[in-house]
Amino acid sequence: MKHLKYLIFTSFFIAGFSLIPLHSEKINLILEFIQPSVSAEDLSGLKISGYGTLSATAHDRNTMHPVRDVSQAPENRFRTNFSALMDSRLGLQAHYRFNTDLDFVIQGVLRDQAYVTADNSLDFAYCSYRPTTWLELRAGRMGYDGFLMSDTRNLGYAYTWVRPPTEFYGWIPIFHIDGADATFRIDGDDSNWRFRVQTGEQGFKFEFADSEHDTETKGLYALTVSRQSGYLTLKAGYSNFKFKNEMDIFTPLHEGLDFVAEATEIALPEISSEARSLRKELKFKNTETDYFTLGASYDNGDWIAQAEIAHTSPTADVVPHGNMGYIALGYRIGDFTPYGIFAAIRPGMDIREPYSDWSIIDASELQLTAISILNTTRMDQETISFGVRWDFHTQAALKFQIDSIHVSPLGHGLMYAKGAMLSKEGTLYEESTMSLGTVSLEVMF
Amino acid sequence: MKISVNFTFLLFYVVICLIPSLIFASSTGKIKEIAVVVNPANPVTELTTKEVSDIYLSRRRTFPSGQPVLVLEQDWSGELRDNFYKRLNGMTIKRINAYWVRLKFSGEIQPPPVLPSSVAVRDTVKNNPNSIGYIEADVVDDSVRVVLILKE
Repeated sequence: MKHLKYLIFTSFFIAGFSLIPLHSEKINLILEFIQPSVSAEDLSGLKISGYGTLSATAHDRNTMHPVRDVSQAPENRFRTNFSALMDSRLGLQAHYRFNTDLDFVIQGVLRDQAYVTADNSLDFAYCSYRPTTWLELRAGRMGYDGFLMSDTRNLGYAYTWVRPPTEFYGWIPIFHIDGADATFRIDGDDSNWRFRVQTGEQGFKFEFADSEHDTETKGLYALTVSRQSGYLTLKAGYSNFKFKNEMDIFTPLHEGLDFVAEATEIALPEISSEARSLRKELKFKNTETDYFTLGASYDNGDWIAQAEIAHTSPTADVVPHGNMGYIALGYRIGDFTPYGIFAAIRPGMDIREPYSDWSIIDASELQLTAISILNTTRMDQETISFGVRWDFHTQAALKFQIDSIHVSPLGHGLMYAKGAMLSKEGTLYEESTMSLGTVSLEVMF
Repeated sequence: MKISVNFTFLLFYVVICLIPSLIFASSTGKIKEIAVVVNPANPVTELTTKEVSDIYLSRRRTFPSGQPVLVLEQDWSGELRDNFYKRLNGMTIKRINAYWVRLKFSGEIQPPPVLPSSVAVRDTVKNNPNSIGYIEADVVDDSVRVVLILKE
């Protein structure tokens, strides 16, 4: 993906033509349903559509680099304080409607990831069937429905701000699941309810300690309940997933910790106990995570408000976890919507410190490496953002946003920081601040 | 991926992207009354603005009678659609587009079929007992039933 940025920019030029009002017969032919006639039987057809974001972000730190989510990595990013890739995306969707009950949808999203592949760029590929008006069944690859913006994170045009709050959405790079789901709808007089159950598997790649790691879930279950009434939408979710595989770099660590635990069991029980504890917390395989979310959004045409809180609790501390939330407020003034956001995440574990002296068995480095990895995954930061969205066109918007981020010592799990983990003089051990400025052009076509 | 893009380069692309829409932008006229119509075989005789709004925002997928609803849309950027939503629920085209793009690209639901004219909408409603559409009031004839009138 060496030429990712050129591909995105070139695509935007093409996308620019889609901003022409659809009165044009040629554009209509491309964008609207292909309908040989308008009889009821022929409302089926193919529709191609898409969206994109062209974004530029600058920040004021040389030793840290922000990411939109942890599936990204700062390849060469410490050489500059600028990124055109962090928030830039291009999505294309093909939808074939067989009839009013049966659809097939496929969607690909070209976005910056540490390891871009055809597989992880395919977000949707599913069949949807509605046997009744209150039930919808889907099978294939679908958006993960865990939270309010879970499956619209790439859709910059659909939300007011530049990016979903990193403190809430950055830690979980689950964009889709391979499996099936069922959606039940109940239409009341004043409210509409939706219950969705999803089950399947999910895999993603990420970078850790300069190496590529595949993470796959053994099973992912999600249950969400939504209630929409008037201007207010509420959503609650529970997800559970278990990791299928282990990170390769943990293998020597596990061997070392197992050896220390066994060798010191009788003579040095404190060291043995610490080694067992570190071994328990440093594993992905079979680690199970519970994830609870609660969200609300309000939009009365003038005021926009949105807030979410969440709690995640894995059975091993190395999986990023904690309590997180944000609140966002905006007000529409014509085509302009100024807004502000406050977002925070607090880690679910205290900073891990050594509690026994491993130097007497000449294994201090093993101890510090294990502890450092645990501490590296802690997320302890908050961000205050202000911005404005300008809807200058019916299919395009421009956004400006500034973010002020504060990161507590050993709370850099949502940042990439320069320097060795083991050096106590590194950025990870410092209280850090960062200011970001972003301009984004959002289009849909 | 080496990052070496500068702001001038980006600005150039932003401007280039906007040129086509500025060149081909078109003007609009005035629309007096908009009729929301269903098939005469549909037991529904009238709908409130909230009910029609919920149906057109896909918040409800059935008529109040319980039968499934097939929503028909008009030109995505057209004047009639702009007027329809402003009178129905106060939403601007820009806001309704942002709403629909979220539903469409999240896999929540696909947008309604878009028909090229009020006549096409009327004829499709005539042939489809579960459909609902909105058309200019002067296009209404005996083949459809008006369930709501949206005035200027």
